[in-house]
Formats: sequence, C-alpha cells, structure tokens
Amino acid sequence: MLKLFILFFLPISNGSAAVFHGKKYVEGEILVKYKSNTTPTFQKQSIENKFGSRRLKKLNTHGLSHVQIPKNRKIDEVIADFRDDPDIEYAQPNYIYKISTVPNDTYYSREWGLKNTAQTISNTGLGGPDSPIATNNPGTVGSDMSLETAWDTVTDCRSVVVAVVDSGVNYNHEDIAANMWDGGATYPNHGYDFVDSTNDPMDKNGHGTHVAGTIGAIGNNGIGTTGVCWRANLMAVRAMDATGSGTSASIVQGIDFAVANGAKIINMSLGGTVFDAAENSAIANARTSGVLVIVAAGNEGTNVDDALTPSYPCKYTQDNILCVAALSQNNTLASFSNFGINSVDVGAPGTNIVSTWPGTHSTITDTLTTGWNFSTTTAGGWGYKSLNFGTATNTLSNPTTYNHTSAQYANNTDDRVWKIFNLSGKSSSVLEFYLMIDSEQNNDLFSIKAKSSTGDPTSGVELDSVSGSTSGTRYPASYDISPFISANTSIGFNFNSNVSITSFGVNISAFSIKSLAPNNITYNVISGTSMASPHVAGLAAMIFAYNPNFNYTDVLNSIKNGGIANPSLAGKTVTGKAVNATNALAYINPPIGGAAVKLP
Amino acid sequence: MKIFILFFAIMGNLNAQIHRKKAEYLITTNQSGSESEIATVIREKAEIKPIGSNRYLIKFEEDPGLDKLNRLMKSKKWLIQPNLKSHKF
Repeated sequence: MLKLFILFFLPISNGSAAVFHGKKYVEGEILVKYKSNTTPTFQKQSIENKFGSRRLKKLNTHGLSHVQIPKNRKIDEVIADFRDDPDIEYAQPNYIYKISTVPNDTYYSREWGLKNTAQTISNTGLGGPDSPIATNNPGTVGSDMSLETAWDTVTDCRSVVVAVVDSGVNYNHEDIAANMWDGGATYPNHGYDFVDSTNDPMDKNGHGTHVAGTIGAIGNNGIGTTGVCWRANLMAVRAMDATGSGTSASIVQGIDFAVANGAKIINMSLGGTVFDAAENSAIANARTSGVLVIVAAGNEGTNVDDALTPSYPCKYTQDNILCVAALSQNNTLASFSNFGINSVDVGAPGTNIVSTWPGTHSTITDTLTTGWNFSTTTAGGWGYKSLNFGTATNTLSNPTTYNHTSAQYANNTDDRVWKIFNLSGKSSSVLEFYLMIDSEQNNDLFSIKAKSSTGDPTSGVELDSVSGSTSGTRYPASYDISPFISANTSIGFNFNSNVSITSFGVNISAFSIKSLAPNNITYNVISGTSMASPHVAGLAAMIFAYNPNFNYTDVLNSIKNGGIANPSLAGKTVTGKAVNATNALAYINPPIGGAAVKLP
Repeated sequence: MKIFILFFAIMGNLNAQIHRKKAEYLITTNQSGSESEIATVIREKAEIKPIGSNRYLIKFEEDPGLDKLNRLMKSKKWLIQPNLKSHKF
C-alpha cells in the first residue's frame, strides 16, 4: 500500500497544494530569508510593502520568515520580486514534503537497486530462466539509488519518450503494457523491428523486456516490479535478434527511428569492440536533436580506455553519451563490469536485477548420439564421435576419425547430417553449439542449414557458411532459427570440400536449442552493465519530466553531480560516483536566489 | 584481402581465424548515389537495401572483401564499412 504520510514543512491551517517546477507547495505561501544585516522590524515592513504580503511567522533569528502572499498574485511573480530585493538572500515556495513513497509491487522488496535492505535476492516465483549470482548477495543496507525519497518528487515520466534500442519489448507484459509509447496507426505495436523490418518489435530474447521494465515497469500497481519511473513512455526498438545480437544496420536504423519519433532518451545496453562509424554518426545525429544516449560499459571486466580492450558505444566521444558501469549489491564495482576513467561516467545497480521477462524458456539438449540422419558422399564422412575436451564429449564429426592431429577429411565431399526437432508453440528459438573447424579456406565449406519441414535441409536456408581454422579451440556459435519454428524443424550441417588440400575437418559439440514460449506474467533476475544502464535511463527520464526545459547537458550534469562518491569507482570512472536519484533531482532544483538544498 | 573475422573477444583465442562466405557492408553515399549507381560501381552480385537517407545495406552471398570494394568505389566520395555485430551486455 502506498504510504502517503504528508508532513508539512510548516503547520499550515488552510493552504491547498499546488505545483511549482514540478514540486508541490502550499498555495499562497512562501518562505523568505533576509540577509543578516537587516533587522526584524525592517524585515516585517519590507514584506508588507510587497503587494500587501503578510508575515505569518518569524521562523528563526536569522531572517527566515513564513509569508502569506495576496490571493490575486502569482507565486512565481511574487518570488521573482522578492528575489530582486538586494536585502533578501532567497525566496521560495513553502514546499510540501512526504516521508518515503513506497510502491506496493510484489517484487519491489527484491529490487535492491531501488531500495537496498540487505535483502537476499532470489528467483523464487519469478518464472524466468536465470538464477541470481551468489557474490555479494545479500549486500549492504542503503547501497541503492535512493529512489524512495526521489519518488516523493517524481514518479510519472510519461512526458518523456525513452527508446529501448534492444532485442524488442514484450509490449503486452502485464507490468509494461500501459507504459508503452503510443505509435498511432503507423506504429500500432509501440515501435519498430529493424531486425526483420516489420512494425512488430516483440522481444524474442528477453533482454529488451528486462531493460524496459527497469526503466518503466508500472509502479504501485500491486503486481510484479516497479520501474525507476512508475509511469513511463517506452518506445520499443528491436535492433537485436533472438540470440541477442545486432548489426550496424539494425542499430543505426533504430537510433534514427527513435530520434525521428520524439525520443528524448535512448537506452543502449549493447555494444562491440570495434569502432562503428555508422553508429557513431547516428549518435552524433541524436545529439543534434538533443537526445541523450545512455549506454552500458560492457561486461568484460576490462578498461575501456585501453586501446586493446575498447567498448563501443561507451568509448565514443559525443557529449550526449553517458556510459554506465555496474555496481554489485554491496556498492562495489561488479567484477564483470568494464571501467575507464575517460569513458565510463558513473556506476549504477547491475547485479541480480529483477525485472520483466517475455515468457518462459525451454531447452532441447541433444546428446549427439542418436537420431541424426547421415548422407555422405565419401566413406568416413559425418558420424558420432566422442572426443576429450577435458572431459569426454559427444560430437558430430567429419571425418568420423576426427582427432585434430592426424586424421583428415576427404576431397570432393558433399556430406550432410540433419535432425528434426519439434518446436511447436515457441515464439523464438536459438540454435547453439560449439564449432571446431580446420578446412581449406574459402574452398572447403562448413554450412549450417535450416527449414521448417521435415527432410534434408540442404534445400532450405543457409544460416552460415564458414571455412578456415578455429585453431584447436571450440567456437561458441548461435543462430536465430525462429523463422523455421514448426513441429518438424529440420536443422542440418553440410561439409563440402573441393579437389585439393584437406585438413583436420570439423566437429560440433554441446548442441542445444533454446526456445521462448511467450506470456505476460514472467519476471527474471539477471546481471550485467545492461541492467545498470536502464537504471540511469529511468533516472534521466525522471529529471526530464521534473524539468521539461532541461536539455541533455542539464540532465547529464544532474546525474553526474548528484552522484555519491564511491571508492570502488574512484580512478575507474569519470566521476567516481554512483548515481543517486534524490541528489540528482535536488541538484536541479536549488531554491530560487539561494544555494542548493537537499531533499530530506 | 579477405575479411578475417576475429573471434577473440568471444573465445579468448587470438589465433582463431575463420572466414564467412557471406558478408554485409554499409555504404553511406553522402548526398549522392542511388541503388542503381551502387550496383554499377560494386559490380558484384549483391542485394542492396536502403536503410535511411544516403545509407545502404549491401548483402553479398560471397564476400568480395573490403579492399576490393574500396578500390571499386575509389572515385566516389562514399564511405563503406562492414555491417558490424554488436551484442547485448
């Protein structure tokens, strides 16, 4: 239940509430602080000389008075007049304060990033596929973003469109649906899908829905989680596929779409290790439109500033980018989080984050020992083979004598192996396996094939075709096979060699298919700088909502300057600070004519 | 030169080099150029898809290599880059 214990800064008998710069105050009343060289008599007379105002009470001996202003005068005009008086230090509305606004959402008690009570984060009842990490779980009381007091000021961010450039969003989720962007008739599904070029940005991975929920899951609705913003305006921009992978093209189009359709904030919990000129240019265009881009630092645990371990978009230099590192529950930099004193700006909660999820997952793990169909043109082509990768591991290998030391595949092969899987009822499926290959580059090709009907998938779609060498290590490969979902999904591997040069061949191990069955009631707990970034994007939305005249620089300054010094971030980030919502909002709201004052 | 994709970021293996047959590139034409003009310039068989103003996604069934494409476009003030992969964090 929402606690709404309203405490007035002063005992007021009949004043009603109004809003000044987004904050509630008592109508018809202000506080005025005279300079110390003025006398009480002078102060009283001075007040009465201004529009017939009346001093209700002298609040202290240092010149602070509680003043009633005429009913026919606007408060901002009166305050401006008082402020212009050289004898007055400051004048401000008589603000109304409340004690801690606490939402009633079921899993709010697990959202340590919003309120850290040293609770142990579990996944019990969430329905999602992941488990919390044990390190620093539980953490430290108070190591959070200080949102309960910030929510006294702002919970509704609907005036600010936040684009989630990610794997899409389950816009039907029970805890998100009402907070989705209205794209009108052109974009009826609240965004766009730049992976498949459709207007349906439904999440087929889970990552984007989790990010969206952290920014703006509906707060205080009695179910699920709460976002940093209780009410939000979330634009779904699908730029990553079911495997959680995107391209320059999909991401650039996503950024352009967000900017063109009114987003003030873009969250990008994604990245790569190569400078991407097109992506960099798109973010520069976003800057021209005044759009703030919040990005994740990356999860390699390395220094982004190091030329050998860069992370983009974090390392781009546009001043509309805010790069976020992940903090763990005890307020220290998470072990996986990237850092960089020149590139990474702030830290935010990023481990064991509970948020919304687009459905339940299931995994088919194939033993690679039975059920595969073989069609080989040469003796000793594809076959089952147990290899020792530290432990005995079942593989599909070509040649069947594969040992990566001496046995070699034949020339002129057209060897095929495939199997049928029942994926009915799934909304998305991802094929994962380890690949080890040594073949004549460009000539002897290993191909992955798929189709949605039974039989040899050679006639289907080629997902990939590779040659060369993985140099004796196993490469983790993953492919989105969602387009081929059926009761008879056929997955196959071809190996085609030419007339010359052979090598060790190819083997496949750890074969699995992970599928998502959609629903609107699932939640999940995951970790990453991806989870830290949307905490800050939500805060940025609060700040924009609180002061709509602010530009992205104002918001960035509020976040950076409102942060709390954190020893684990010192020397590893630009500010050395963890974000703090209460301070960030207080930072932008100094009393008129005076110095900044923190909210209680 | 062929495009060698380094998977060290994922594998932690600096030596692993495998080559993909297919390849995708982005071309930014800077106020000039069109799909037909790009098709003429790059010569190779490819799918050309506009993805915003002056930007095109080029999909090759067989990778001609960035060096070759740069040579073919030398007379044009166009920018070309691989369609790079990003990943969720």
